[in-house]
Amino acid sequence: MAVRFAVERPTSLEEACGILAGHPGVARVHAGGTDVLVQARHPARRPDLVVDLARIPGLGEIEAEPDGSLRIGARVPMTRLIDHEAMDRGLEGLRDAMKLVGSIQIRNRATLAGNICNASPAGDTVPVLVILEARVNLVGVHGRRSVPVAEFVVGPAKVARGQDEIVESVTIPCPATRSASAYLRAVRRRAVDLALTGVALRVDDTGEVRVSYCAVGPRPILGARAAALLRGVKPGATPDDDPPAVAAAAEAATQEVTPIDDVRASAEYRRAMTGVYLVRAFRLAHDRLSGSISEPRSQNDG
Amino acid sequence: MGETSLLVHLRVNGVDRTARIDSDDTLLDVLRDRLGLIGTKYNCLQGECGACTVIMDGASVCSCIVLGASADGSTIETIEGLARDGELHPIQQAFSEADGSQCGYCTPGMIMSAKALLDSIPHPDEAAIREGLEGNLCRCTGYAHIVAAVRLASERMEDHA
Repeated sequence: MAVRFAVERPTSLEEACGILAGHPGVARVHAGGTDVLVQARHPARRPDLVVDLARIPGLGEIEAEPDGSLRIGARVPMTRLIDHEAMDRGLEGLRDAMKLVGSIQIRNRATLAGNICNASPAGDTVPVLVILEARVNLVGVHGRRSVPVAEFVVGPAKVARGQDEIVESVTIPCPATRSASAYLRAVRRRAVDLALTGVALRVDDTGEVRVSYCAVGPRPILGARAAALLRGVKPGATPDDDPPAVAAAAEAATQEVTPIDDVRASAEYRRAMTGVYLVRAFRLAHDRLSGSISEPRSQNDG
Repeated sequence: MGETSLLVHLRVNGVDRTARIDSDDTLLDVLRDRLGLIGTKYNCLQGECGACTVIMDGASVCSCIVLGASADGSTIETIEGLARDGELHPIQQAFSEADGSQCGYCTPGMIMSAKALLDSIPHPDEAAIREGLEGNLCRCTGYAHIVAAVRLASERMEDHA
């Protein structure tokens, strides 16, 4: 009986890139497999070859680089990254996002590189990586190159990767100033569900704010207007005491996203929830920055 | 290009096993069809329901979306490995006493997720139990008895520690 796909298990990146370059059919790169194996059953994205990275050394590490940036190998499971101490210093939003991906079983196999390359418009980690100015490090038959995540994710299921190229690692630069980040999403279920809208927000000691939204456009949207309105703003002691700029930013957020109606929610609902979650993410990031930690137990904590 | 048939070596419930598998076999296929371990259940095949949950190298996974080739060299615990010498594992015993099953189809996966939870958090509170079982769906029980079973198991396992 014919198999749905053959498997290659190269022992080097060079070999892997060569296989991808020369393959005439549909090849998928396999790290954790949580997207590839699901899509292998669907006609639209079915591969006939799966290139498994498991035998290639050097892809499973989380390393601090000399310049302070963090390099995350393509095969690092999210669970290991979630527990890593580096997530405490400015990268809390990335931890927030990873903890929402799928389920524990999924996170024990899923990778950051895979989440990026899958390029789901609702991919939770991508808007966080955008505001953290993360880059993907690619290897291909012609050599290496590094691309900002914001430029790499082009559209739904579309990334700027050559057929021969493999993401070797993801680099997150060390924030220049003390900062904190947060990611919150509107969602129907607590787990195994997709964001209806997701808001990633970063604030730093200079009052600079960066915002990005997911699930409300074909790829993450930079929240330029909301971020500008929140620059230098501090939340009130309670939401009722928030300065007017916060409400203005929430309104701006609803206007700078392009949601669609789909089976999970209407565009109108997604748009409205974007404003709500912008404010919540803003408060959470600021609480983390000021040290008065309030870790949300669940997504529904205001 | 590529292999279509592979030999994998894995340690399942403490026993070394070797299986010839197809390249597109998932770990679920390997366990059920190649090794005859049908306790792990076949359900959504999308990693969304958790019925196929096993513990691989100490971490719970949905075997339906684990590439069979990935199992090569791994250590796997399935539901069949919990009972020892005819005695139920405390989690199994607790599920039985606390009515944690109705149709039973989600149960092997639910118990393996519970085991993975208790292996890392021996005394979880209710919120932690519910969070630990987030990847497992049950259409019958409404989850309350499942949570009670896991709490009962954690108390029993504490006694044995």
